[in-house]
Amino acid sequence: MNEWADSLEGLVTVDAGLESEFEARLRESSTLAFRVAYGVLRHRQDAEDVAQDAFVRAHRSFRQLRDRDRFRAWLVRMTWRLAIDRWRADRRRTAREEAVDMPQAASLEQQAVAHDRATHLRAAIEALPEKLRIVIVLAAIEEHDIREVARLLGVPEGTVKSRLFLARKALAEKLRCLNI
Amino acid sequence: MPEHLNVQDDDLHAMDREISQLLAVEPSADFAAKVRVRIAEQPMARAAWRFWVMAVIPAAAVLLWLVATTDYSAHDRQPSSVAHADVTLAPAPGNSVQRPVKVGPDAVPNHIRSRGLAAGGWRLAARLQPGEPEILIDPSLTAAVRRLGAEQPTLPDVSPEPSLDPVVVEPLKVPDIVDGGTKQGDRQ
Repeated sequence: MNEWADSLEGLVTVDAGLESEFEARLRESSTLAFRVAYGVLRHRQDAEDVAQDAFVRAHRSFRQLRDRDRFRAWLVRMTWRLAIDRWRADRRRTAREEAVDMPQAASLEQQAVAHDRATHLRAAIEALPEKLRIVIVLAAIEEHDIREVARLLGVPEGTVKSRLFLARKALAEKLRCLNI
Repeated sequence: MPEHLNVQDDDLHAMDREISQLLAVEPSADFAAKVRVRIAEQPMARAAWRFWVMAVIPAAAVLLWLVATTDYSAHDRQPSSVAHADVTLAPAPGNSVQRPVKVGPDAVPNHIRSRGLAAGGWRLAARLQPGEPEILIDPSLTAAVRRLGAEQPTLPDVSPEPSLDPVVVEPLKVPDIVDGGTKQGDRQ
């Protein structure tokens, strides 16, 4: 009986340790997950919902995700997948969040130009193939370098480098065609 | 965007900055609290896991053991009570045969026997008292079996198989080779 109680106590202790580790991961990775979802959905509420869903799933599998790097990579990929699924489901939804915190422009005219450019840039990013899109989004979030993006996506650094080059080239050409 | 991308074009740098600004959004202040609430709303997953480990798996193991042992013992008992059962048929009225015909299991065709077993012959045999004859024939085929019994009141005599004496094989005797000058050692 004592052994049984000891084993139960051990389980509770392990669970408490897991919970504290998960809390730490939640604090340090919530912005990352939210921005990944926002990069796809461009809607705050949807992005928060998707990121929270990803954290709930991560909590379920946290025993296998205790390593920090592994957790962040898993979280990014899960968030991206959930966001893409939500984006495809809501593709026809018209009420997308258009108001983005833009840098303060000097005049109304400059504000209008900046808004147009941001709108076209978002549309150009959205039109990218998925593999290029996730690379450019992750590179823009939290100043991730190529090594970090490769670690998050689980692909070689050379692959990230080539995809990033292609994505930036495609975006530049698309904006150049629009004379923006 | 990091410097080691070897970007030469200022436009690309500007574009990178714009993308970073587009994605420079912060989650709401209660983001982590909402995550905790959603996790707390799903306590069943862990509770269900413990329930399966602690209760259901041992119970299922015991149940499987009981089913396996019960089925095995019943499987051992059932065939022995039926395989050698005799069937006694009363003669049909008006038939020339006077006495009841006792038909052994070998005289009943296999397909009739199997139908009788399928119709619940085992259960019937279990209810009978030890002295009672067991009827393992489908009731719809009773008339046909009666006619079969009437036409063959006695079973044809089958001559017993001739007993075979054991064959005695005597060991093969090979005569020794007696040739004084043919041994290899002698040649050399």
